[in-house]
Amino acid sequence: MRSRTPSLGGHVNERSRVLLVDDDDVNLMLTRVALSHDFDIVEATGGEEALRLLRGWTPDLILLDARMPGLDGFETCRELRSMYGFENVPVLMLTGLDDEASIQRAFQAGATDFFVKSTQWSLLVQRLHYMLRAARTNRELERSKANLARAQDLARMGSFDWWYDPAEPFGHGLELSEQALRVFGYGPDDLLGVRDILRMMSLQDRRDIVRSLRLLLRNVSVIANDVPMQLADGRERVIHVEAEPEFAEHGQCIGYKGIVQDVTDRRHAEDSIRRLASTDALTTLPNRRQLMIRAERALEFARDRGFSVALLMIDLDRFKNINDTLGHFAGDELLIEVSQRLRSCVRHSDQFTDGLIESAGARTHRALEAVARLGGDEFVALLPEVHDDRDAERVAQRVLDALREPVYVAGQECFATASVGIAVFPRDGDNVADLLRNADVAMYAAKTAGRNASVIYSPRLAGRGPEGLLLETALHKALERNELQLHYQPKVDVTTARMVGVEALMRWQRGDRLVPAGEFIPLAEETGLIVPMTEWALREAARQARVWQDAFGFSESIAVNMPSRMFHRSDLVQQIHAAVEPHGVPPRRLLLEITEGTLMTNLDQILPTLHQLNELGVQISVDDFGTGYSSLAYLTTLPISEVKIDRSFVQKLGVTPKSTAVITTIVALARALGLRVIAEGVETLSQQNILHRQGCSHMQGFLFSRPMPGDAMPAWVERFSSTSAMSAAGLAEEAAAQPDAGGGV
Amino acid sequence: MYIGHTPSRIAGRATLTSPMPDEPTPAAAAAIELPVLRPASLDALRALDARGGDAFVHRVLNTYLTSLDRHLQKARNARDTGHLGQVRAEAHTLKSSSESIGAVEFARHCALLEQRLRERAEHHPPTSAISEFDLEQALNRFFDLADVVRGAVVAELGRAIP
Repeated sequence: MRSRTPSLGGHVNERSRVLLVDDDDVNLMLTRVALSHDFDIVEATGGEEALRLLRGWTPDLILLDARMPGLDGFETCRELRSMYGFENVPVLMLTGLDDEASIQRAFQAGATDFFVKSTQWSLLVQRLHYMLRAARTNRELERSKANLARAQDLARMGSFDWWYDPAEPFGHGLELSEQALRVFGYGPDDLLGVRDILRMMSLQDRRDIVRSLRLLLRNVSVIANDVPMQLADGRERVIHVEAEPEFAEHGQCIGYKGIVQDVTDRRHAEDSIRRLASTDALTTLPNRRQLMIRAERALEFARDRGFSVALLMIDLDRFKNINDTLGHFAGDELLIEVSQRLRSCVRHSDQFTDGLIESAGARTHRALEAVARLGGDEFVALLPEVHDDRDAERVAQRVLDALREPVYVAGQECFATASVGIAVFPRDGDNVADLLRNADVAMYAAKTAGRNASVIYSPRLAGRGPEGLLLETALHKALERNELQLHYQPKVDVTTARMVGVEALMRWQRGDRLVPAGEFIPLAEETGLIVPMTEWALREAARQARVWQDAFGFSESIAVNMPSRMFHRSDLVQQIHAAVEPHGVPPRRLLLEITEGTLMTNLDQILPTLHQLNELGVQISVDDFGTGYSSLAYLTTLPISEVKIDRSFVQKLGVTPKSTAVITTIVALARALGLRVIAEGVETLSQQNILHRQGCSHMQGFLFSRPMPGDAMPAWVERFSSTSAMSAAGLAEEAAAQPDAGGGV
Repeated sequence: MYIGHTPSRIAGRATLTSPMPDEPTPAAAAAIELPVLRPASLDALRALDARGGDAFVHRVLNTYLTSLDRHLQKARNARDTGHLGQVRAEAHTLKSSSESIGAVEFARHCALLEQRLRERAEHHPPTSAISEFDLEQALNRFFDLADVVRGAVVAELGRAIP
């Protein structure tokens, strides 16, 4: 070897390195001189020497004389092509003008090009430049291809050409790139045809795909499909196929060019997102959104085919009690257990897709059947095809039976019975919203009737008319949604200008409107809702007492109206305890108002409880006193602290003499029994003065204040104390002048 | 040097006379005197290494002379021992280097000889493609012309034949 370059391995300049191999000294010399202006030349005088040299060095180009003694140019070329790293190094074979055989042999041996020996050296120089440029371009192309292949591998993607024969489209003609073969789990040298790929699909998918492919080919449409497949190694994958038609000169479609991509992970992620969006996180049942979709689809089917559809509204009985007493975790456990039991009551299908519904047969609307959780303890069973009410009732009964077994949560045995309301399409509504509402109405009818039962919706349930039903339904939810509020009306001692207590009055924030008690309490009493509402009122009053105690030293009592139903409960005393304890206020902060009518009607039942309450320190006030027929004998033994003169007497003061007489009598009676007496509904100064003259100084009414939210009370107390001092002083003087009339106790 | 039947010198340049025995020339063609080393080729060599100039041409011619002697010796030995394939290889090698220094006529004859020997080698048994007589004549002419070219190169180098 004769080297004319400073070093073989350590080139730092940009000049290309050329290995020149020729056995003839003259040719070597001339070629070197001709090329050395543009290139760095390394010489070898034969094939063997060249190969030895190439073991430790890679030139940018090799110039090989074809015919040399020993290892000739062809053999040398063939040898170096088999060496690692020399697959793509450009080789220019030097041949004679008349040596066509050599030219052919040169290409066969792997030469990149040939050059007929000539004394026109500049041609050789230009040819070398061209070859080096082409080699660089090739290298970049190879690098791009490698990058593309790498990117495709990362994206689990590959390309394909499908030159199909219209006569036999699924025969030959599919060419898959190495990456595409890998997508299907095949190696680069494997052969894979359309039929092989079709065989990776399930029978049903295969039929669908073949059908849609035939349609695509007929219409020359774009292919874009996600196809579930089982690869040869058993892996279940989803392969996305996307291709566009290729057209020949005259516009006829000759095939498709496209890509295949393994989109299994993406598909799973999408499925997860879809599942999360349509599933209740706690119970994994379909959520409200999913129920609405399914129900809409079920109604579409039913309309087309004349089916009946049933919606069963399932609401757990007294779930709130479980939640409140055992805690939310226990409540969640209960809901999970209940959801599993409900699931078993219908042909529950967790997931359905539009594709499934559309592609499957006539009975696939059954896949819509499910139990969904609307929220809280409300569930809905959707039965997409029922023959009559009895079908729906059977499922409802199954639900009731399933929930009859005790549930163990938080180490305790609970009974989670349910009330079920049934509405059937098309009779009870022709859209999902109406059906849900009517199922709700029927469900509340079941609750009113004593719970743990099912009721089929009927217009008869709407005895009070649709508005009444709506009101009842809404009232049920008011408690759950914290729409109830307590407003407070002060009780004052006009003699001392002092607040002596307040009465809590329930209000319902229904949308924008604050509904007064008179509009919903009768309904609440009728439906039994008054019980949980009163329980809530006790808790809320206790909370408010604490807030006021901290704010302005409130030490009086808050009166809560007690319906007779509350005294039917054996745990009323515990309820009072449970209401005051969390807030650290004594039971005497609560004063229970019970109407005279309630008291006298249920005296035997109520009396023991009253005694217990009295022992606890809770005061009892008899409301609407004078309107009933109190047994004076009993009155002497009752553990009551206060009687409240009914507003009807107060309003007639100064109008009918009898009213004044009644009040005089009541006051006298109360004084005799050692009870406080208070007049309610005081609206005028005249009423105030008369009452005061009759010896009743505790009053309540608009004259002093309308009922107000709890947070307005501190300001009112302050204002009342300062502005009423004068008039109170006047009244006190008047009272002193009439000692017989006495002060309200 | 010019070659008719007798080499001669004109202005320091060798010439040789055409036609050569195998060439298809008109029967009445008169001998044409051609320079043994084509001046244009020597000029091209000079231009190839502008800085080297004549010194470079001399180096090339020296190298050629060494190469010519070596290959001629090998060719003669091969002919004597009947290895015509080797003769063909030597003719091939001398063909392009002779072309390069402007020994065009000799290069053409090298090509012709190479072709004849290839044709002969590719026909087994040898056919009438080339007769033994013609081959003998071509070989003789190859060596004759080589001697002429050698003389011309030596003359170009300003040296006497050793």
